[in-house]
Amino acid sequence: MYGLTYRYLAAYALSRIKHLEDTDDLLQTVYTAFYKRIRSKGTLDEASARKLLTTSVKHELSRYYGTRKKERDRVTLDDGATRDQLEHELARSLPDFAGEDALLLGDLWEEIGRRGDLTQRLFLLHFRLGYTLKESARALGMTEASATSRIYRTVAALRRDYFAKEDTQP
Amino acid sequence: MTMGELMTKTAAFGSQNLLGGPDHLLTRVKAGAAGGQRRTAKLRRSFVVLAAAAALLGALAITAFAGAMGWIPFPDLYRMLGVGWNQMEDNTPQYGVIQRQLGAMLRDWNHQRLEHGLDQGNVSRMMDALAAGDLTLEEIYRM
Repeated sequence: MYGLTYRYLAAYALSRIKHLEDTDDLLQTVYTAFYKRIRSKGTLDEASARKLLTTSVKHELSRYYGTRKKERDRVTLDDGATRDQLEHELARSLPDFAGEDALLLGDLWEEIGRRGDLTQRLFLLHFRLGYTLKESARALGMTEASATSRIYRTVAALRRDYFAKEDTQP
Repeated sequence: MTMGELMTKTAAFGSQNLLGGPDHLLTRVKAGAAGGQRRTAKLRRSFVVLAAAAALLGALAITAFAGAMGWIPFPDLYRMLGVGWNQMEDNTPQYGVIQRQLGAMLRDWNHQRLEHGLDQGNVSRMMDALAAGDLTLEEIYRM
């Protein structure tokens, strides 16, 4: 049941929770309650479990963890060019050591965090949980064009700041 | 490595304390369920204590108010107050409470007398006699 519901529930919590660092605690609380329930009352089918878990997350968010204040979405024109630019940016080659350098990864994550809570949530949904740009944008209540543009600007800036000399065209 | 792969690694690295993943979570959940603890248990416990205290204070306040207004016939109130019938001022709320309770007792007593074929006493006269100090409760019971 974890495998079936975790990605959805994590994304649900990530996109709504007030403080991102509470996400794991919230999920633990929700799944612990669920675990106790199935131990005392038996198993549930996936649809019922998902419904129950979602209700539980909503409850925890409203009662203990709080929901994020929605940021005003900056409307971006959806011309398709930004998506192409992002794809191009993400396909750029980098030295392999970059992915193994914990210090560098920490710095990159901090830099993403400095670009705003919404950007960090977008990166988590898209790059960590594998949500498409459209799904990520919908979860965060913003347009797909804004989400694409935000990720593109961040990725381009990171490459420029950290890998301007090393990068090569794919 | 591509920039996309690096971003995936960065997000995974940055979120390791936010999202441990299903396996990590399962371990935490099992430990949590075994210990019967919740991360928010402290918060919930304090909430329950506060709510209970508020409910208790509210109930006490309502009871005290209703008692002071003479709405609740407290048994043996006069004894609790440490005063006798004829020592109580008839303009106090307590007097009203006790008077009503005594009235009910006397009516019940009258009812029992009637069942046993005896004459009924005049409740209001007996009350007046008690209030004036001409009769004691014991004397009324012996009548």
